Amino acid sequence: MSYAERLRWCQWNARPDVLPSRSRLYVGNESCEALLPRPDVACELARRMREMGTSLTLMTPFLTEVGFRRTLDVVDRLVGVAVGLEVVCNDWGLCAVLAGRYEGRCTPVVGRLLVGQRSDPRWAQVFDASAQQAQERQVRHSDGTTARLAYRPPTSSLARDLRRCSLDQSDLLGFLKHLGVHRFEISNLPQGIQLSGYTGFHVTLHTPGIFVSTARNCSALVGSREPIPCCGESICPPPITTWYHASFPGPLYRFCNAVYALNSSLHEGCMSPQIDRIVTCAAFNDAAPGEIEPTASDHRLPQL
Amino acid sequence: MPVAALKVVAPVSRPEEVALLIEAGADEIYCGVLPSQWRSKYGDWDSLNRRQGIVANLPTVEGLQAIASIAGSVAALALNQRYTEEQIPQVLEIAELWAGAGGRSVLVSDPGILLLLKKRHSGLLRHLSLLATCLNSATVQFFQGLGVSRVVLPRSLSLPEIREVSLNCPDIEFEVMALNEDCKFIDGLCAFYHGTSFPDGVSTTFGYERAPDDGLPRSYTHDLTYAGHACELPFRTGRGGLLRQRHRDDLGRPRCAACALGELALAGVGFLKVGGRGLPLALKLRAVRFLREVVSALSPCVSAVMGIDRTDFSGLYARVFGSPCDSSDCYYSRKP
Repeated sequence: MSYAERLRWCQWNARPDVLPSRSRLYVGNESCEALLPRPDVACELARRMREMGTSLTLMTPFLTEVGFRRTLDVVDRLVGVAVGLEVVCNDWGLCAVLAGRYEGRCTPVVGRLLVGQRSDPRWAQVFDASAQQAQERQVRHSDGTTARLAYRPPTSSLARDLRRCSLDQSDLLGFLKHLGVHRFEISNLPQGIQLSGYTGFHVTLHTPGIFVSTARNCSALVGSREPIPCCGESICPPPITTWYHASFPGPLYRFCNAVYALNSSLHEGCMSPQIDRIVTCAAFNDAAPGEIEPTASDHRLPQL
Repeated sequence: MPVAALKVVAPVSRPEEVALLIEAGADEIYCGVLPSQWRSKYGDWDSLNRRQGIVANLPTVEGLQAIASIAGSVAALALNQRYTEEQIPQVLEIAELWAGAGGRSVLVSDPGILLLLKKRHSGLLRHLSLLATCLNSATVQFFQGLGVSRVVLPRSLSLPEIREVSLNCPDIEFEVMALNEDCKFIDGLCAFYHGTSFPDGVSTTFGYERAPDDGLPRSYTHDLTYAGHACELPFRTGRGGLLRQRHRDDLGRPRCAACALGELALAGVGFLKVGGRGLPLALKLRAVRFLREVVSALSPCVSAVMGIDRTDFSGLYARVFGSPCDSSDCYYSRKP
């Protein structure tokens, strides 16, 4: 029996001694274009990976015109250096351009910012009938009338909707396949995941980090009125900070300009043969290692 | 784009609002629907478009048909969520019903829906919602290939960034948010859902049903723990602080692009969206009249040939909205 490939995802400024030696390395940031590497930095890492026989996946964020040009500069340089280069695209324009630009020397992957998963961690709570029924209550309107709020369990349609992702439509996947895209990425949702099984598409599962939301920059998330200068070098990305609110089932984690939830339980849907790769973000492991590093047995998933 | 040609696009949630908003100065309108057939399957969260509940949405397809018959030629229907394969046939059915009743445009973000509208040779004009997060010209061109003729640009773009995208895509109409709504998160990349919270003291009702046992009004929901939109909740941080969240839809001090309208026009923007489908009609009318007054004040002296400096409409803002604005209220003073 073979198992899904387990990979680590690091930031560009990870110390060389912490870079994992595996068959493929994920590098980059999925939400901040200020953290795109300089082409020479990217090429140096790609050379080192090539010497180790390690393939490279470049993680890229959503992109403005400036970020788009910088990304193409990086990819143009990496194409000649990296082994098995993949680019995870969180921008439709980049995905389309890469698909037609490098004649197989660079494989575009649809990133999880584009797949349309229901990844608000509160969704898992709608299946907890006893917790919901405990919240049933009376509300009073401003005109003095009242009404009773009551729990309605999710319909089977809603339950499926919450576990699927909108990219997983046969027409859309057929279109992407025609473009040259054969892989997309998803988060490991606490309510479970359900894939269509569309032939010819591979799926990467990110765990335990669940992408939930992002702002344009860090300052928007820390409440600063002035933009925090992004250096993309030594001080970025900043340490992960946690957010708590009683209506959420657990903490949220702010990493750079994005917000994540965590889930390391693998539900039945994760056993789908389409999922042939599992990626863990090193940053989350550093933030709360005991909490989020899944055990090896969690990852005994069948491979295609 | 001459300033005089700027069009104001107003939010509508009931058919009777249409004539009043057009009379107030709206050139186009947009609306959403959340019919009972959909609610019974998926609930009343923002699953059909980015607004939850039946206050911001038409509760029936009959209401939708009424709007299409009154003002379909200048109206867009928001079908701007991302959908699962199972939902697609119902979404397309609503789009066809809209088109059949005279609706001209749909506001879309799902590439799968765009593909299918194209495949079916739909006559509907396709406006790309800001939920598609079109931040660069390559993405505009990707969606243009799927049949999009207008792009609503995300609020997170700066004026120079808007100008560059627009210059690179001369065959596309561009629309921006000009009044009312803002969020720290990028809408199209935000999976926090918009549900309906039920605080005490609300002035509205939520589609109640009469309970079979006692006949008392009940509102059923899948998530009774929902406390509000994540962008408005006061999160406590791990360091013991409290994350300050400003309510971006603050009715007293709406987000605004008035002072930047001349520059937006020169950057190639032709359409100004007023947010707030769920707002009371009086606030929608006030917003439309305000933007119309700004456009009228600008247009005699400005054309694309002459260029324009930023014009100060803070006095008008204070008079109309009752409190002075500051730079944090401005969409385009603080970007990127």
